[in-house]
Amino acid sequence: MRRLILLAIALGVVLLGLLFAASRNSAFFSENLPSLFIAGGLVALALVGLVGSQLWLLRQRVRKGVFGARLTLRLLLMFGLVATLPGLVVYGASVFFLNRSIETWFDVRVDAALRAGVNLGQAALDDLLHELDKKAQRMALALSDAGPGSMITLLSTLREQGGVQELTLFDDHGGVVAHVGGEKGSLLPALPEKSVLWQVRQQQPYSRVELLGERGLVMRVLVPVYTSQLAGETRVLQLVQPVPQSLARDAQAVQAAYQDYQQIAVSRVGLKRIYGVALTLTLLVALLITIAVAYLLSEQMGAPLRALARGTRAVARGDFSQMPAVAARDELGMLIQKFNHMTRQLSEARKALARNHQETVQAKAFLESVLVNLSSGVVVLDDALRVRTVNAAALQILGLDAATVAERPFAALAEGGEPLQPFVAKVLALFANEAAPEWQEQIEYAGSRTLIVRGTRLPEGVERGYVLVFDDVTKLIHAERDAAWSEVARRLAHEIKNPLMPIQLSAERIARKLGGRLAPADAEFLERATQTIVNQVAALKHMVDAFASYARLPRAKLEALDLNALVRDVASLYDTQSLGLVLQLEEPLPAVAGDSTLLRQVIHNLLQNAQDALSGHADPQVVVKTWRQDGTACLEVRDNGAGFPENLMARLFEPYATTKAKGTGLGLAIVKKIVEEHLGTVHIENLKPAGAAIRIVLPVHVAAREGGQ
Amino acid sequence: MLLALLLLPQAFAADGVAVRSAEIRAGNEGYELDAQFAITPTRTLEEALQKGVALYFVVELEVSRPRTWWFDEDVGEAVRRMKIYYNFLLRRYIVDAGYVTKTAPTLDEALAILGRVEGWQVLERGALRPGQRYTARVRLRTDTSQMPKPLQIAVLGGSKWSLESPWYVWSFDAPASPKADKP
Repeated sequence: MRRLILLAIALGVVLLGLLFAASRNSAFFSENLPSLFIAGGLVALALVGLVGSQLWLLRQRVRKGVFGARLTLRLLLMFGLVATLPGLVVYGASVFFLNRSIETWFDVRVDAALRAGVNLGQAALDDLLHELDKKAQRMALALSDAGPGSMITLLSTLREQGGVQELTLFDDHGGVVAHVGGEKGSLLPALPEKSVLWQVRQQQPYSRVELLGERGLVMRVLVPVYTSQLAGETRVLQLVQPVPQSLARDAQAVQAAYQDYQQIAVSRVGLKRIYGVALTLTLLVALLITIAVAYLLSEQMGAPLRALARGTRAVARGDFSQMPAVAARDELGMLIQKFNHMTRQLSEARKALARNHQETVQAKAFLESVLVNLSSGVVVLDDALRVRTVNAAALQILGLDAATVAERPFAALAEGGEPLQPFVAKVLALFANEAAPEWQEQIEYAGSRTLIVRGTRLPEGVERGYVLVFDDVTKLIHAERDAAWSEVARRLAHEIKNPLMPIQLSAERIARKLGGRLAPADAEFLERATQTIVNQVAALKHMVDAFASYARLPRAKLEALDLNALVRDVASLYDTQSLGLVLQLEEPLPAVAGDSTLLRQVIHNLLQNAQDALSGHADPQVVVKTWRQDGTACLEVRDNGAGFPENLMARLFEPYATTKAKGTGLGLAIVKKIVEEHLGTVHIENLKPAGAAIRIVLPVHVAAREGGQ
Repeated sequence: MLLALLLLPQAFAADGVAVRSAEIRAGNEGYELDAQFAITPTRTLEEALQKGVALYFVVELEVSRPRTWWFDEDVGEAVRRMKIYYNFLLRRYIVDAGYVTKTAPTLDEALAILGRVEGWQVLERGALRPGQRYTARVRLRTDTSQMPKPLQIAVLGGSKWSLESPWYVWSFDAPASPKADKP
């Protein structure tokens, strides 16, 4: 496109140059004008096509909303207007003055003057011709009167007298009888046409101005000559006299001027047309070139803007690559530089933002992982006491579901379960106290549970809100209580056990000292009473021992332990036959983390329990079973005895809960205590139709678990 | 085929110039054309002539040999340029027919002289084969290309300035040229 435009422009300029050159050189002008016009028209047509296609393209682009197209159009229109207006004005003025000046050439007075000049020439010639005619008449008379002398001499005389350049006498048949010529006359006569001779012989004299080749304008007069000697024969005398040179020249010049004038007058339409067409072509080519150049210029000026638009779109897409710098030192170039600068800054800001965001995310993730792994419950409330964050431990402690808590007012937590009512009320009351931004409180709820709660109001400036941290200290309190109980039990046992031995010894001594001296009846009574004392003391001692052992349970020393081996070991102490003892041990069983002494007591207690339950049973049966289950080892002892009474099921693990006539009621309590020390669980159930099963689940030793898997 | 339709002489044409007659005959040096054109100038031309503007005419002749199987063969063509103008000093119209100049006192006479073509040698001796049938066509028209350029431009596109006879087409058997063999 650009090349085409440049080509057309070059052609147009060459053409206009030729046109101007042609108007100077008239020969060239007249010969090549039509072809120049045609070429100019073609160039103009090509330019029209080019400009049209440019405009069409531009229109398409404006329709499609290509950025910068409207600007190009506007610049184009402005350029076009700026170029067209003066062009049209100059064109109009030129055409006007051209027409005026051409019209002024053709003046009626000039026409009349030239016409008069021509008439003058004609009149002068007529006069000369008339004079010559008269001379001819006289000469004819003189010839007809003349005798038969020398015709040549006579003619010469006549010529001399008349001042005529050339005299010729023709006979009846057109033959030359005699011819005399002056110094300037020719030796040969200028012969008239035969028809003229014939006409003259018919009494019609001939006198006319003629153009005779190199001789120029000549007057030729022919008259008949009637001679008396030659009756019947009519001779013809011809006079040839050149028109005086000055007159001929002037007359011919006037005539030529008149003819030229008339010719130009006739062709003035053509002249006007030529100049008009030349002017129009010039204007058209110039205008079209201007528009084409305007298009190029607009395109060029619009280029940085389009680049900017591309850059803007790229930035909008998130592409921060730099735009190619435009080598323009004007404001547009500067604009692009600034834009690049801005893009760079934006890109850096964005990178910083991304980095910050990532850091924040990491910090948040860190915080969350800390919160998740925290055993304390954490609840964060916003300014309106709405729950913002709550960690898993808090949910577990409060017994809530994450979905029911998120984004709800803290007060609404109480709606879920009645037990939380006092906790929520207390916390709200404490937060309401503006005076104490930090507080710590022990709150009991749901009857037996105890929480230590710390509340903090977040400092102003960041985000107003509250943080609630709490720990479930129920177990801790339990443990403390247990420890206290153990101490009490141990001391009590000690204090009770000490007097027992003297009591027993005293009773035995009374029986030994008094036994022989009493009457048999009294002796028997004594014997019985002493026996009772001894028995009861023994029982009391046994009970105290049990207490002491419960209180003094050593801390478990956990190490890898083969549970199956331990079971076999303990079982060997019992009478397999009478107890109906069956061992169902899964092999291999992973080693459990346990204290062999304590676990031995557990197994012992369980077997003892079973034995007690089966005393007097017709077909006793005890099954000891071990198996592995999900990283734990299970031990079950089941019997087919009477089972546990349903009313005791809830309190079976409390001390002194027993179904047996004799027994401390500590057996199962000890079992539970030991198992819990091993981080295990105990479960009791009654079997149908008869019997009970106690199941213990112990965690597998860590090393064993890893090795075993 | 087309020529067959045009064989009939077209005596009068619509515009200005009509071909009265045309004939090719054997002459001294070769073949000569005799033709008569009736020229009626338009008013514009007449006025221009009376103002002394020179007019140019041209007579064009084309001779061809018809061929049934291919395009007609061009045998020859001839062009005769003529000029007519009014000389104010002589008060006569001057007809310049190329090799001979004649004058006439009136325009009609001048045009008659102009329209009379006699003994115009158009073909070389031996250009035609005697007895063979040929087709010739002739016309007379104004020749604006010889006018001064401004006038040409003025004339451009206007029919007032142009006279043109239609092609006058006729067929003839080439006459044996009796003097052909003589040196």
